[in-house]
Formats: sequence, C-alpha cells, structure tokens
Amino acid sequence: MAEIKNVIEFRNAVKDYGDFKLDNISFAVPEGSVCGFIGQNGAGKTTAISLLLDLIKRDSGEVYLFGEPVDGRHSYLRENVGVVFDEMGFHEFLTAKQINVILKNSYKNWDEKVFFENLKKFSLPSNKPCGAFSRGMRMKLQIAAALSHNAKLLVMDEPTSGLDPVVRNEIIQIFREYEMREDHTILLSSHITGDLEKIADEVVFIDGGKIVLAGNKDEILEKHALLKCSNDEAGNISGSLIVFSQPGKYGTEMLVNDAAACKRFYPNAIIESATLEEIMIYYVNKSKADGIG
Amino acid sequence: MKGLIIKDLYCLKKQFVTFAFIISGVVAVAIMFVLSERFGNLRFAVSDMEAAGFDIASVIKTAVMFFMLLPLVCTGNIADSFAYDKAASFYKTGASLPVSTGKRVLSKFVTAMLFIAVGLAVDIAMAAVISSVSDVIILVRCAGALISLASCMMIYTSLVITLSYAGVSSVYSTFLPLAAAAVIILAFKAKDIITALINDDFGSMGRIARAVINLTETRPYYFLLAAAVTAAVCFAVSIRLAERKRGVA
Repeated sequence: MAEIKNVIEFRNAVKDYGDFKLDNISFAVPEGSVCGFIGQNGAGKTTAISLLLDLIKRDSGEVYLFGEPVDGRHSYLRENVGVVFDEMGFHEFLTAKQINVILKNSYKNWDEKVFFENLKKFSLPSNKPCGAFSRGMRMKLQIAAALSHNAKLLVMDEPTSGLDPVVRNEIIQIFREYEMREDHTILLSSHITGDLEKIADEVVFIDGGKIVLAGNKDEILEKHALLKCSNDEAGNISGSLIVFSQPGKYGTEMLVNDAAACKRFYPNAIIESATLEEIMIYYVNKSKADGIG
Repeated sequence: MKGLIIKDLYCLKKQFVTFAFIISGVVAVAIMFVLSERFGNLRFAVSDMEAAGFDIASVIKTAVMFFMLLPLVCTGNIADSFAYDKAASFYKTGASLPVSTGKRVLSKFVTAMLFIAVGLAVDIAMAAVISSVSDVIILVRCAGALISLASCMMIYTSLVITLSYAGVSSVYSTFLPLAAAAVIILAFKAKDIITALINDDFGSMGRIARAVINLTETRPYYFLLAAAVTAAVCFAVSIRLAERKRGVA
C-alpha cells in the first residue's frame, strides 16, 4: 500500500500575540483530501493559515508544506499553492487582464489560457476594474487566479463567508471539480459548517487557539450524537461520554462522543445524529464552561 | 519579482498622467523662454539688467533649471505604491506569491529607480534640446546637476521605502527624509545662512545658493556615491525589517 503523504503538517506550532495565542497546535492534511478547518470567528484559523503561508513568524514548533519546513527560505513552495483570502487582495483599479499580467510574471506555471477560461466560466469581465465587482465576483476572481497555475494545494480562508447560498453552492461546486484530481488537496477554513459538511473529508476544529477535534469527517459525525433525555435520566449518563450537556425545562440535550456506546447503554434515550455545526457549538460551549474558550 | 514591479507600475500609472502634464508644461515654458530670449522681451531685459550690474544670466539659468527639475522631482512618489498596497490588503496576496522576501523588497527599489531613471532621461533630453538652441544652459553642467538631483531622489526614495517597511505611515515617511535633508543642509551652512539673514545680505544668500548649484553641476559623483551607499544600506535594512515582519508585499 502506498504511503499517505501529508501536504500540510503542523507540529506543536505556537504563535503568541499577547491577547491571543495559537497554542501548540498539531494536525496534518493528507494529500488528495479536502480538510475543513472549522472554528468560530477569532478561533485562530487565519493565524494558522498565516503560519502555513509564512505570512507571520511562529514562536515555536514546526510547520511543513509538501514535506518542507516553512521557515522563510522556501518561497518556491508557494508555486504549488493557490490561495484565496476572505478579502480580495488585488487593487481595486486593476482589471482581470492586468492581474493576469502580474501573475503571469510571478508564477512559473501560470496558464493564462486557463485563467481566461475560468473568467469566462465564472462570468467575470476581464476589462472591468475589480473594485466594481460584487463580493461573490471578487471571490470568484481569486479562485480563478488560484486555479490557473496548476496548484497542488488550495488554501482558502473563509472563501464563502458573506456570500448568498447560490454563489456559495457554485463555489463549492468549483472546489469539487478541482478536488477530482487525486493529487489535489484543499484546506478550507470556514465557520459555515454546512459548506464543509458537503465537501470535506477531514475536519480540524479549532477553538480559542487550540485544536479541539481533528479527524475524518464521517467518523466524527458517526461518533458524535445528540442524546435527549429527561433531567433525571441525564444524571445516569456516564460523564466520560458527555461532551457538554444543556439542561432545559422539559429535559436535557447533550452531545455525546460515542454514539454506539450510548445506544447500547441507554436504549431508552433518544439519540439523534449531530451536524458539524451542532458539534462545533457544543465544543465551544464546553470550552466556555471550562473557562478556556 | 517582475510581476511585483509590474504591479507597482500599475499602481503608479496615475502618476504617468501627472508626469506627462508636468513635462508638457516644462516644454511649453522652455519654448517660450528660448523664443523670448532670442527675439522677445527677455533679450532686452538681459542686456538692460547686465548693463545695471545684475548677474541676470545666473538668475535665468536658475529659473530654467528649476523648471527642468520638476519632472525629476515628481518621479519620487514610491510611498504611494505602499499606500495602494495597504488599501487593497495586498500584503497577504503578495506574500503568498512564490517570491522571496528579498525579491519583494528589491522590486520596490527597482520600481523607484526605474521611475527616477525615466525622469532623468527625459530631463537630459530636454536639456540637450534647450542647450542646442540657447546659450543659457551648458549641457554638461546641466546634466551634472540633473544627475545630482536624481541621486538625491534615490536617497529620498530609499529612505521612504525603508521607513515604510518600518511601519511608518506614508504621511511621515515622505516628510521625514525631506526634514532630514533640510537639517543636513542647515547643519552645514547654518552659520552662513543665519549671518546672511541677520545682515539682510541677499548677495551672500545668492553666493551660498550658487555654491550649492555649482557643486551639483561639477561634482555629481559625490551625490551618486552617497545615493549608492544610502540605497545599499536602506535595501539591507528593509530586507531585515521585512523578514522580521514577514507578509509584506
């Protein structure tokens, strides 16, 4: 069996801003996968992505991109990385044609034919200053650029936030097409878990600068469940199974971390599958209750 | 790196219009000046004032030089490209390109020097034309003065770039080098200038100005050397600053 290569690897990476700390994070993204990087606003997603792209210097730990250390000396690694930020990043007076000239002279593998095809596909004008574009168009322009230099890895920081559901769906479809190729990997950060649920293979959940949960998305969804019972019955549920519980007037709802065990031990309880959003909310509430969120 | 230089040129494109406008104005003034000096009022004014003992030739030469320096001065606005980058949040996009920090910094210096080189070339071409039809300026001396000023512009833009990488806002980064230059000039000639001002001695002031102009015309290599050293030091410092911060465009 072929060895699984990690395209991205964080090993105990730390970045301390004083008022916020990315605390000892470790996770890996295997080649060919779509990794959803989930967390609420301010959880540390952008900081982690900035470390990965060498936009900021880490305080300690290691970060690897395509197996090479990210240490300010390997700028050539970014030849294979397509990046989409939450802001457009291009000057508002530039047209797509001018952006093509800039990027053609920046990436060795820039394919202007693909770029103009992408513009056409996304219905983007090439002669209009991009300052006149809507948010959705700006995102699509960034994606068009990210997909035009044969990148093996797409890193996207909240590309779908602030977009209407139709555009979001279109963008998710573009990512799906990109991901069809075996050696293409995506790291997609978002707090809109519904988008990630549609496309992600792996999920890394970050909260308060710490990795709370990481692994295969289907396994995480399979393992976690929402257990509903009366407040009296809630006291009988084993603490080790409970992530966080929310007692209410008519009963208690809790997120459990081993759905199969719960079904076995508590056959009378109502056990429903949980969405990524529900899992995220319960873990965030747990962190807050523990005083670390 | 080429892509970033092109990006900066796009950013400074608006200044091409200003540049072209100024050149047109300077050319118009130069034509009027040459015609007047040959056939018009200036010709009579020169002979009358020379008869009265004024060094009118120097005054006219200074006036012509002043106009000719304008195109060169307006090429030094590299701080604008930093302001445009900041407004567009380009620092993240720029830093995600496969370009090393050193090359990113170099691209700013290359853009600045390209602009100055264009200004210098245009000015020298104009000086060549004016000197061929008028005796007011001598091409070699004028070229010397222009090279000296271009060197000063190199020093100025290098300082602006370094200050921008240090995080100084564009308002201050464009002002501080000018203030520094004024302080240096004053430090060298403070005594003479103050004495001349106290005594209302405009003759002395004129001599000081002529001495400075003479230095620029005959010793451009002093300025060029100072510019080369300053640019090299500023480049090294800018790289250090950019590497410390990372994520600069």
